[in-house]
Amino acid sequence: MSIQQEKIKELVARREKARLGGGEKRIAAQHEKGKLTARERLAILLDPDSLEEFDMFVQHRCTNFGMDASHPDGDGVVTGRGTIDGRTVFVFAQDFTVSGGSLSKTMSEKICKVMDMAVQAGAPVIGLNDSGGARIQEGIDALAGYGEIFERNILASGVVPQISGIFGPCAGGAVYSPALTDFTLMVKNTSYMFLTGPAVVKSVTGEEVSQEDLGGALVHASKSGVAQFAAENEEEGLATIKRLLSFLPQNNLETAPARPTSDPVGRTDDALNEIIPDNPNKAYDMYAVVRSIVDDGDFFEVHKDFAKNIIVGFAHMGGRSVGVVANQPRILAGVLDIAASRKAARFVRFCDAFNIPLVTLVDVPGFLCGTQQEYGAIISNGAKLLYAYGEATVPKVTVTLRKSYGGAHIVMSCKQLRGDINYAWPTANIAVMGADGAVGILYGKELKAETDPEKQAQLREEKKKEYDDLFCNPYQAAQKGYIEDVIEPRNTRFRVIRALEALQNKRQDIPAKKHDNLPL
Amino acid sequence: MLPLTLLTAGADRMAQTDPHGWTLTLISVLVVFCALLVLFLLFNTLGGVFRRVDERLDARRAAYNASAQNGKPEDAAAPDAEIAAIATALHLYYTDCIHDREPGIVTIRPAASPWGDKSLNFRKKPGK
Repeated sequence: MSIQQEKIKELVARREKARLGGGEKRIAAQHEKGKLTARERLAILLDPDSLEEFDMFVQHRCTNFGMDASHPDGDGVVTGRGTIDGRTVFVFAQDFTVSGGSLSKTMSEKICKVMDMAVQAGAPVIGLNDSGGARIQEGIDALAGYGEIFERNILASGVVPQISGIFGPCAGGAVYSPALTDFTLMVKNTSYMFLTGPAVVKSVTGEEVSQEDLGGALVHASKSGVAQFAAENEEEGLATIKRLLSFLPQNNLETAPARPTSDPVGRTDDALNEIIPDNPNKAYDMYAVVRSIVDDGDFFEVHKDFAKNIIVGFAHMGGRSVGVVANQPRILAGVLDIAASRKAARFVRFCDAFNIPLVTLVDVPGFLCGTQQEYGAIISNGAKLLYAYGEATVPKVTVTLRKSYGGAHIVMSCKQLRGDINYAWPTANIAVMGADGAVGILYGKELKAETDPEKQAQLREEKKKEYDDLFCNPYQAAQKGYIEDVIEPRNTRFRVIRALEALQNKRQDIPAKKHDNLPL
Repeated sequence: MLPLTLLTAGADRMAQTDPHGWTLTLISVLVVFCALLVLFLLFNTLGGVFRRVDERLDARRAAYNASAQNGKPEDAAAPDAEIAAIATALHLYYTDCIHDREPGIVTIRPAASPWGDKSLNFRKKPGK
């Protein structure tokens, strides 16, 4: 055998060894915990045979605490480029079988390299986290490594989509990278995110709490809102990431890929003509409206379990990817509160950053009142959503279905926030406030003066009817040009798609500035 | 020259002992039959031997034909060139040419993108 052939043999052998990561025993241990290895996750996520792995032979350079005894290839992370549905993505997947996936300087360098490549190529970055945290033996180098990654998350924010999948522990400073990315997905029962773990919590506060209850998938998907998705298992999580990507463009200069559909643009739905209950205090399901107007009834919800009083997610309309924001009357009557404002604001800003048009369905009676909301800064948080809509330059089509009162009306993409096309259903009530509250203020003296309870009630009803006739309809707003048209509900799909088609080449800018000062 | 009486002595004795010739006839017939018997035995034995040889040859021929039809070369004599090719391939595979396997397909779907607009790579002129 020639020397060259010997060298090729050596290459093949090294590659096989590197692919084993921490070895068969550790791979088996990973599987016993119900987890996949880094390469297995990438094999599921990416198109077959598409992964080109970079830096497979990188080794750490640490010599502290006996670290120079072992130099595993890859140093605990698999990085590279692949495709998902033929679209280039850059990926990194931490390998828990090598040093517990702990972050070292060289691991950070590998991750930063693919992030830099992604920005240059204008392609999304997907990070699959499964790490025990910083490699303590590396000391400050590990912290510097994290810092480098975070800076790149910041610089890439709004340039290319960044998605984090949490498939194992993610604790301490490591949580900031997913927090800086656009979407975070967690897996139930096997992934955790917290700044300080249960042991430290117990020693500092005396509180006893499990990992799952402190930072599990359900906690972050429903209570804190840190995670937008909580998957039942890893395969479902990876499939969710792939589906999410199908709605997103590669970068901030592109539009999302169109999805051909046989669903007719002019499809009408008579059920929408009857969906609003006669009783204004009765709820209906906004999901039914959303599914009725989008292509094939296919709605990909984001942040499903968090702030359920507002619905956000992606869909296709007329084949184009759109972001849908809709109040949900079934939960808290669709009011806006702190969580809902934050959830919607983040989603609106993401859509604006990546040229995804916004379709807003409004049925909002106002902001949630109370000391808890006020002390929690509902003012600032509500302002976030207001700011997000006002700043967005993507096409904005808004349909008011029923209530749209007060400040919430303004916040939910009203005309004055540079809403492009604003429609209303005949059942829309666009007013400063509802009849009950308004009558109490406008006719307070007269009502107090009337001592007979029966007559007082009658007077109240009369005044409410007057107010309803005058304000609680869409025609006041239509008369003043605050909405473009009143539309029949069954035609909503057609009207929205036509508006989006007309706005596809919309250009709009904002004054030049270093950056905004969003009320954070 | 022997005397005539000596020459005919045997015949004279035959004439005296077997005047009608039955003994001579019997002996002649016996000799012929013995010879025939010997020949019979000889041919029978030889025939058996030849038959067994033929049967073996037939069996081999049948086995060859059957294995040729089933593709099993155990009894078939494969062409030398085929064997040589297989051996060479195995030798090369295991000893000389281990490859770093590549998938060989490009899965990237080409798509025009404004990201690749070359004007975006132009240097920015300093502002006045």
